[in-house]
Amino acid sequence: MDKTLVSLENVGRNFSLGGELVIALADVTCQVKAGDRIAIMGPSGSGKSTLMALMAQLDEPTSGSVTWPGMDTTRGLRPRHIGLAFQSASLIPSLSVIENIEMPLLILGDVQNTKSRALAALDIVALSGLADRLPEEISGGQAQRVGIARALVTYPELILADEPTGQLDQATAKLLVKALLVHARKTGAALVIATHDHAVACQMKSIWHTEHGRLTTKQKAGVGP
Amino acid sequence: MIKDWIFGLVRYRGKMLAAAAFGVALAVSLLAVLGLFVAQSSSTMTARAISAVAPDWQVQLVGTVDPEQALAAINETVPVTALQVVDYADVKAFTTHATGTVQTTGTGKVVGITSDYARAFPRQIRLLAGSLDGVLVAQQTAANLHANPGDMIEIDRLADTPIAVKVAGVIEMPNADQFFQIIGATPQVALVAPPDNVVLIPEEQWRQAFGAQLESMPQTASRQLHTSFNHVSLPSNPVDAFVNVTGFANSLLAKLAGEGVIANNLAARLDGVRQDSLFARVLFLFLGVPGAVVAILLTMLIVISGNDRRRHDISLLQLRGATSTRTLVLTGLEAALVGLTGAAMGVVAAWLIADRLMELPAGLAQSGWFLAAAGCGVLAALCVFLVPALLSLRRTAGQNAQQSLPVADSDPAWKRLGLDFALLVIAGLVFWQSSATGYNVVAAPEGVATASVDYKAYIAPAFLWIGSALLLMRCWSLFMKWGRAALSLALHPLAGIFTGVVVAAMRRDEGRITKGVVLVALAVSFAVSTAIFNTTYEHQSIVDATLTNGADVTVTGSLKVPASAALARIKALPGVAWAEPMQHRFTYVGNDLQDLYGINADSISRASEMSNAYFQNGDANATLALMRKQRDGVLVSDETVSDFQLKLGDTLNLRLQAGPDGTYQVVPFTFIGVVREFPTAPRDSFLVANADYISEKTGISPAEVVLVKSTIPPLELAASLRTALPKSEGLVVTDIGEATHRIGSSLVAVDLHNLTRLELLFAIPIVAGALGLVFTLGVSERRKTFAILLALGASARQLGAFLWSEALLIYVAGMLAGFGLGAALAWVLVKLMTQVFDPPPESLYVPWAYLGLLALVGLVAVAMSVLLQLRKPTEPLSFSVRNL
Repeated sequence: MDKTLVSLENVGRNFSLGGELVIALADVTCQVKAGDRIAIMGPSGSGKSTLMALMAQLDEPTSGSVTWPGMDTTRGLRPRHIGLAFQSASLIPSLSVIENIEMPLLILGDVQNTKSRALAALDIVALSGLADRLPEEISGGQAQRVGIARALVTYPELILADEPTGQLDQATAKLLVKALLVHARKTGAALVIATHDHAVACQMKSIWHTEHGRLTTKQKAGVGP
Repeated sequence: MIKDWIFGLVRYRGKMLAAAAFGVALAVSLLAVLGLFVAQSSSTMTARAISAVAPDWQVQLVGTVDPEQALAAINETVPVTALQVVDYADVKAFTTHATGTVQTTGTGKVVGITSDYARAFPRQIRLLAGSLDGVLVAQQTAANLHANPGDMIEIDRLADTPIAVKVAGVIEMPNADQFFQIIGATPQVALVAPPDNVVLIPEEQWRQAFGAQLESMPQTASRQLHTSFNHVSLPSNPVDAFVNVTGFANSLLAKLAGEGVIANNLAARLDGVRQDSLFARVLFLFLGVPGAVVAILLTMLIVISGNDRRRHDISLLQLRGATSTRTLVLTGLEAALVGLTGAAMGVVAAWLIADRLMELPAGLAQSGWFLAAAGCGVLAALCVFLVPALLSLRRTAGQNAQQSLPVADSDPAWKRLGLDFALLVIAGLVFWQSSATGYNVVAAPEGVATASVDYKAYIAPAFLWIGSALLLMRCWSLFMKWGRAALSLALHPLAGIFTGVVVAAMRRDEGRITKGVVLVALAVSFAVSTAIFNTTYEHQSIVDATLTNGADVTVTGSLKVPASAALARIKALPGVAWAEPMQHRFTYVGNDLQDLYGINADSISRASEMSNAYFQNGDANATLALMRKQRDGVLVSDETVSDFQLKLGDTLNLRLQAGPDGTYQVVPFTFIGVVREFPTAPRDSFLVANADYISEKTGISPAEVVLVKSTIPPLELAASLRTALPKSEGLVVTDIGEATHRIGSSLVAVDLHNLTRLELLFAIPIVAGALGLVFTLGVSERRKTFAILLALGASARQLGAFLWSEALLIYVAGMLAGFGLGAALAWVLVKLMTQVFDPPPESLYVPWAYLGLLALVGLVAVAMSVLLQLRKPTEPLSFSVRNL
């Protein structure tokens, strides 16, 4: 039986915005297991990013609980167990592409062959030639792919990618998702992608739908490897 | 809209505006308090100078003019408070016959005064023995004649038979130089040495004895009117007061229509103070303005940090069709908000500091300083806000909307043109010209109403400051570019495995880090240069006062009542670290009567610091060693060397009072060196020799003076000495504090300690503010980077590697560069302001404790900034990440 990596039980997350209560997530229960390929779809503001943030321990729930039964939480989840690709490129502007990718390895204290491993991760997203460029010297799409490489460099058990193809053309998006899937298969990692792109979602095993902060349906896509 | 705009600014950008207003407040308060200080110091100088003068004028009547007419003219010109007729007559000699011997002096002067004179001008005559009613003999004349109260003196008149008078008292004339000055001569000629032999007789008696001489030989006798007047109406500024007093004198001259000439003692005194007042102004500019500039630079840095946001605002306003004027008005509102708030805070702070801490007058009369400083603050705020806004308005809305403006590939113009080198070369040339030609920063020619400050002198320190800052920028850029290995090595202990990326990040963020290092260096250099200058000045002030008083406390007696007789009692008092007897005799060098100091070269420096500047060879130890070696050695003043064409090794025959009868006998000395200044010695001619040699040759060993080194405040020791040595014994106790007052017109009198306190008070927040703000603003600019690092899983400790590395790099580099630049500036200032140092300092005096405190305060500011940044964020990381 596949081990459960992250489990959400009746999770709710409220925010106060200008004195008004905003319910970002309400009563969400779900689990991500090793080897899962999940696409989370839903309109803007439906709670996709909040759900991803809770899974990545970037945020804490207002109600319910989030646990990571299959992971050793004592030494931190990121970047050892969870690789995170953000909605925006979010590269450190003063570091080169390769240095950005090396950063999670340094955070782990894993200093052996950091450069070659970072280059290997960069190769996954087909950007080996840009290793020494600065973020301001590459395009938004390329920066987003570098962000994906950075999420993969530590070989995490769970890859969370928040709209990773948002700034890419369709062909590049397809290639990137394929690369992600291949990497996940090779490493046995679970892959969770928040996306508006149905074509991307269809490549996953499951598609979860969110609406008004609720996880409404979970359906099998059945396309992914 | 304007109301909403202001409300929005306060609500959403309140912290930035408050920080900018703090910078303006620092500049405003520093300028205002320094201004008040200078105004107060001018006023104090004037008051002290005026109070020490008596009489204000000596009006010498020409020919046989009726004194009543002159008196009326004086009364018409000024509000007279004291007016006395004083007559002078030259005589051939004074003689006494006592115990079978005849003592005869050389030529002398007989002065006729009224019985009220000593009461009208108490500073002129100090009674040493006997009574003031009757004939008074000057101390040295009494010594020469062996005359005491009750003895008869014979006055050998020029044009008549000798007359005999009975001595009523022996006196000292503290202002003899002024009392006997030649009136109507140029200032250089006027102040000649006073006559060696002086007798004062009642005015009525003088008229009988010398009235005929006054008429028949007017070149040998004269009549003066000594007058003082009410000073209440005089301006507090010495420059204006000088002009005023000179004007009164001119008015009197016109009224006297050639029948009188005036020695304007009050104007002469103000003349000296006038120069000091201008020095105070120069000091204000040299020492104060850099602090205000650094405070304004701090404000600029804060404002510049918000330029991207402000440019974005302007882009939005442009897109919505706002006119340039409207946009400028809105930016101006932000500037005015910062400027007015900062100015108000600065004025309140200045008032509190002036009124509560410094006890400076800070009332309505001083409102001009507050307004001027506040105006500077508001103007500076308007400039730092409006100039970038004007530049933004020249760009399109699209260009302004970009997150950051493209950075030029090439070096800035100043770097390409080598402006830093050019400024340093010019500074060096101006400084070289100044020190080589020995020119004066302040020019206040004696007797001339106009006084000026040579503002060209400011070029050297100003260009040194700016040039060094630019050179530091250049060097730091090169270091960041080529010094990767050194930087990695330096940062490894802090950054550990992150060293590589930390160094890489810093090198790419070189511009911001360089600005931080330079600003911190400038702030520290301000603090260091003022601290070193002020400490050096204070040290020299003490040397000056010591020079005047002799030591912390000095006990002065006479040949008859030597202070050394009380040596055992002096040494027994608590608080006495060392008591050193010193002979003070008078000796004839040719026909010139000079002061001779007999010292013990082994121990003199234990009581009074022997400065190298006292001796022409610039080496006090070597000179004293020479004296120890050459028992008959004598140190001679420059003037005497020149007057008598002396060469080292020459035998100098001095006539000294010797033996039980005190007759003058020739004692041979060997000229071994030149002395320029010496504790208690006059400024012109004097000699220094070994006391034991003088004792042996004259048979008179007691010392007239005892110099006392104190372990407690000199004032306290002086008080206990006065109790232990009652005045009736004839010994006078003075302390270094009195000397400071006596120096009077000098800047020493203007409590420089207050200026030091004031500047150090401001230097600390400026340095702390620079370090704290530079770093805090740096981090706020890179908030995104830290949010990413945290989202990637970096711990606070790991984030600290970035923060501490950058903070300590800026701290260490800024401090080191600031200390170096500050020391260089202090050296240049001391050299340029040599005029105010008396004697000139041998080296700079560094206040290590204060500089240590400064370094510590800076470190605390940096540490607080880092720790504030390392606080756990209040908003969830998901929010920060979403906003990236």
